[in-house]
Amino acid sequence: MRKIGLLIAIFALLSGCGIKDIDKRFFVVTTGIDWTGNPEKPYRVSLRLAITSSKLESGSSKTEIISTDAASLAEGVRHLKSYVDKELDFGHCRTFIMGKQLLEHGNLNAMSWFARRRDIQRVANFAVGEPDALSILRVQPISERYPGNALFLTFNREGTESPYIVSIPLFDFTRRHFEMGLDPVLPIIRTAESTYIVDRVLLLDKNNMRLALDPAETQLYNMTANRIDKSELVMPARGRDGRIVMTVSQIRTKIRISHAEVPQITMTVKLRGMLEESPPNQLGENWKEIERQLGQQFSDRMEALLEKIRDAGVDPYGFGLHYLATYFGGKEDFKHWQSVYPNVKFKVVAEVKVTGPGVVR
Amino acid sequence: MLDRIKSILKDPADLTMETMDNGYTRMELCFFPSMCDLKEIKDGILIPFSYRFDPDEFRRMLNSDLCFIEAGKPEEWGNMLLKGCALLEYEGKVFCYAAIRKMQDKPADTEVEASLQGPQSAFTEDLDLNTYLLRLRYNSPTLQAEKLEKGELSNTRIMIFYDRNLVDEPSLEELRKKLKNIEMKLVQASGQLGMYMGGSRFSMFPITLKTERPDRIAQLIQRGKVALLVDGSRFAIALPVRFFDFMHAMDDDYEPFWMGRLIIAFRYIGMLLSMTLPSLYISISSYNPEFFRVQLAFSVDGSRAAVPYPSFIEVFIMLFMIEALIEASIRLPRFVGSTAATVGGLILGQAAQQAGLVSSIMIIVTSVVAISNFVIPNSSFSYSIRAMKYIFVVASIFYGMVGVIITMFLVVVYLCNLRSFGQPYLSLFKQGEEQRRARRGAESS
Repeated sequence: MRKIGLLIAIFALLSGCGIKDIDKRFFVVTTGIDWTGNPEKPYRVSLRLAITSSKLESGSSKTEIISTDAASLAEGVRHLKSYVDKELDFGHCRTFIMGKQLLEHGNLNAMSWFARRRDIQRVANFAVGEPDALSILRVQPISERYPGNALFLTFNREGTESPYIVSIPLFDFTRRHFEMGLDPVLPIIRTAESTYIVDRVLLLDKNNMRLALDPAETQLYNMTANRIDKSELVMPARGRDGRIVMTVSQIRTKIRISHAEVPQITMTVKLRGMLEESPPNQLGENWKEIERQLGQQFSDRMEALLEKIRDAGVDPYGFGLHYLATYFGGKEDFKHWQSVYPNVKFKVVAEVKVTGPGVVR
Repeated sequence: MLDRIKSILKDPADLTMETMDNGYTRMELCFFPSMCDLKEIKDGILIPFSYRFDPDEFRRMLNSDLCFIEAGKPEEWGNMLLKGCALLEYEGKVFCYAAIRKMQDKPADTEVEASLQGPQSAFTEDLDLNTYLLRLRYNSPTLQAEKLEKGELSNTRIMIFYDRNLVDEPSLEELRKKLKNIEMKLVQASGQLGMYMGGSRFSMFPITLKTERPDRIAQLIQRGKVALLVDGSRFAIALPVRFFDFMHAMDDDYEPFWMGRLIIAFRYIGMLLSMTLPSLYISISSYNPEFFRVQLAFSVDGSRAAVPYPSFIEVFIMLFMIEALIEASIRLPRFVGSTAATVGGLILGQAAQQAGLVSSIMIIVTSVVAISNFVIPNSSFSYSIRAMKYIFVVASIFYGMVGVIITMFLVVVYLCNLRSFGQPYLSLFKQGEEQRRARRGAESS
């Protein structure tokens, strides 16, 4: 009995000070980081904190925004703790927004704070705020049921499944930052009144932003790089008014890189879907022709996009990594790849299959 | 004879001692009226002795009737009387007439282990009737029975049953050895015996299975187990048993295969929930709130805002209430039992939360714990799980999620270490082996 008592006493001593009840924690739902321009304190750290209640109604979400300037992220967050009455908890912070100016001036290596913190989930999404992160944080969407939900749903494909939205979780962002032959991308969030618009993507090299794609290009990028279905193929109907719109329900992409001095990259894309919109009387005609035209149009646009990306000097698809993986590449091969990448040729083969005209007959 | 008995029993008030004279001859008769069936004594002794008296026939009856056993040893007379026999001395010889009063003459209804469509009869508190019930279900010449008595003061009769072709010999040997070592004054219930016999009064899990169902005992015997029937207890003990036997209800064998499996799966989930849910609540709400989905985290946060105490005190309050409620409804007489449930339900369900003493999530946790504990078919096993829950709670107070996971691991280690009469408690593949042995036994016999 005495032994057991002693054991319990030892156990009690061993316990850490980790116990902190859930109602003594402040949940950060969105974190924003901006560039201040002040060389002493270059980072402005802003946190959107959830004010919880047990009743959840549409539009009932309440948040509090706190913000401070600091020399580094860690200092900023520590300083912000003195602004609030409860312990800050990043466990449910699933969206991190970086201001556009930060990406123009800052150094992505300083961002390792995210990857080091134990309590930041590796599935937290990263995005770019335009014009800055704080203004995104200030938006209060009317439909939001609980704090920060609108951005969670936007990025984790639980709610909306838009082909324009590219989600980059922390693990992927870090991987793209450190991996040879693969570059980071970030979705751009803009605001309109009280909603968010996420329809563009920003391509970065290892440190700075390089190229922002427009919505149509973003969709193409998302379809081929992330195999996002529920997207669309569009072309004007030939010889008639109106447009032909095909919803893509299934998409397969395959990349092959030839081992030539200047490699050629062949991207085979298989698309299946149904015609969602087409001019009258089109349905009775030859679908093969529609498929061919859609495919032709798709590969033309894709080749143009790939060349644009190549000319910007970034590699969001990971062609370089693919090349190294296929041909047992080492450092020398990667140097060679970097030297020839500006000259590589792209060939996009699109195989479009129309499965039907929908439920109309 | 009567003087001798007087010297042994010191003439208690409820003992009848008579010297009878029917005009031709005399007979000394002695019995406890409270322990004997008076009608049998009348039919078996008094009528042949009085108005149907025929000296030859009476002598023949005494010598050849199965009910009359000659009792030559005077030192046994006291015990015989106490068992409910009548003693008579006729022409210098002492006979014992078994006219034991039987309280039960038909099988009881299942009360603890109810079954929906299985047999509804259960063991009674009478050993002979129980033996009948078992023989009825296991009607095979290979069913072996051994008889013994235990308890200095209670002299309780105990029967050991097993199938001699199928029985696991080492377990049987160990059982005999352990029974020999038992020294108890009173043997009142089979559970008591089982506890002493296991040599593990401090084990966290039961290592003998108590059941009131003859069909379960028959099934266990067929699987090579040993059954113990104790006089005066409506529960039989089966051994050796494994962890999985406790989670098995007889209905599983009487229902279609897949439905049975599904129910068993639910039962295991229920057991796990009932064991770990309070500790998970503590560790998630005090240590690792990121385990919840964000919606749930926020609503737990919101509902806990009014609660003044840390989460583990909240858990202790609610667990104490529910344990007290369960205990009260078991011990209360049937008539007042429903009052406890109503009052308890009101307090647990509404008032505690409105008073801001506990959060609404905790009420759900408590009720899940209570309900899923009742899913476990064996009551002594469900007691174990009820107790285990507190170990988890304590671990989670100090170590959070890690504590719960490590305690779970320790429980598995403990289960692996446990032995039930020489057989591993958590053996997964024993059943297949038993079935093979059963098949072999059936071929050889």
